[in-house]
Amino acid sequence: MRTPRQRLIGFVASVVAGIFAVSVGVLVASTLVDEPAALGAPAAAPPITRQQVIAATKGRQTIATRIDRIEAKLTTWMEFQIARGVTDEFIAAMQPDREIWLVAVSGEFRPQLARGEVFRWGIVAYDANTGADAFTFAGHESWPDMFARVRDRGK
Amino acid sequence: MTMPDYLVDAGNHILQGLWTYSGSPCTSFVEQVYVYGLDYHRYYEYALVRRYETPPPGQPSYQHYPDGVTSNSGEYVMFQTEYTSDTTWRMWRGASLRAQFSGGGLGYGSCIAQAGLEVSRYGSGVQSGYVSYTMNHDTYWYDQNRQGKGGWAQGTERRYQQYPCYLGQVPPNCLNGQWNSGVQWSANKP
Repeated sequence: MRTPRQRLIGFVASVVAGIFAVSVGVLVASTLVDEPAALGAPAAAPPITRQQVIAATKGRQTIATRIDRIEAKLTTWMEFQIARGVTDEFIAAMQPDREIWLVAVSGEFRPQLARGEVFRWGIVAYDANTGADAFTFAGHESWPDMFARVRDRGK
Repeated sequence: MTMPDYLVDAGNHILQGLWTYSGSPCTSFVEQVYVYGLDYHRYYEYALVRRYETPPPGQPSYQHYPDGVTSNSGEYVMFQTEYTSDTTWRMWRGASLRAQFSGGGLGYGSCIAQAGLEVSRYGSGVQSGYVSYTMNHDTYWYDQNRQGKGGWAQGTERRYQQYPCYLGQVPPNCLNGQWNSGVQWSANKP
């Protein structure tokens, strides 16, 4: 039979042990998890490379039917929206921090859902982690101004 | 909804969707589709399209967003496009808001919404009129007083729906298209 004093000592000891265990757990976890990157800092290189997305776009020969110029930039959906100056557009499939490769081409661009219309430029966006298509844009100017305003996270 | 893979690999697709157009003349549109073969993909997916005749300054004329991979299981889906009084298009799949676009010369005028089966042309390369359509069945729509109506929708309507193929229904009068050979082709969307 434990005395009240012994029970108090046992309780305090268990609390101290618990705090110690949690502290150790936090320390261990902090060594296993990367520190979050500072806002705007370059992220780690994504699995999908610049060369891969440029090659994939060149391979779409019924869409990019003539390529006079081609460039790629790494960005996020939110940064791209800011570069476009768009604030009131909502796309459920696009998360703000989704990292994407933008591949801009000029020449002749014929998106498959554009009813056969031919554009002078196109942007094909790929998910930088999976390579999946993220979106396709096209326009009639000689080159997309919005692409020029995007900061390339991949450099 | 099926299409031989050799046609997909050659840059063709098959889809069913709801196409709602706008502007004056009716040259802008929004479209949501259930598609196989789009952009060389050998899988079924949803896609959203916004086409501006006069895009906002610095914006693209054409936008296409993949909206999720699906299957050929005959899933029941309902596409709905809503044009609100504040010049905004909203696109719904079931009860889920999938996209919202604003600006760029919107207007409903005498424009209508249509739904149907679309098969891209093949055999002679990419060219003008590349896509062929059988957009010949009616949508269900609501007028400004939220009264549901069938038939072609013109004038002041604001919201369009296209239903999936429920038990006992077959395409092309509902969403779950099928490849029926080239006899369905026509030169353009009507």
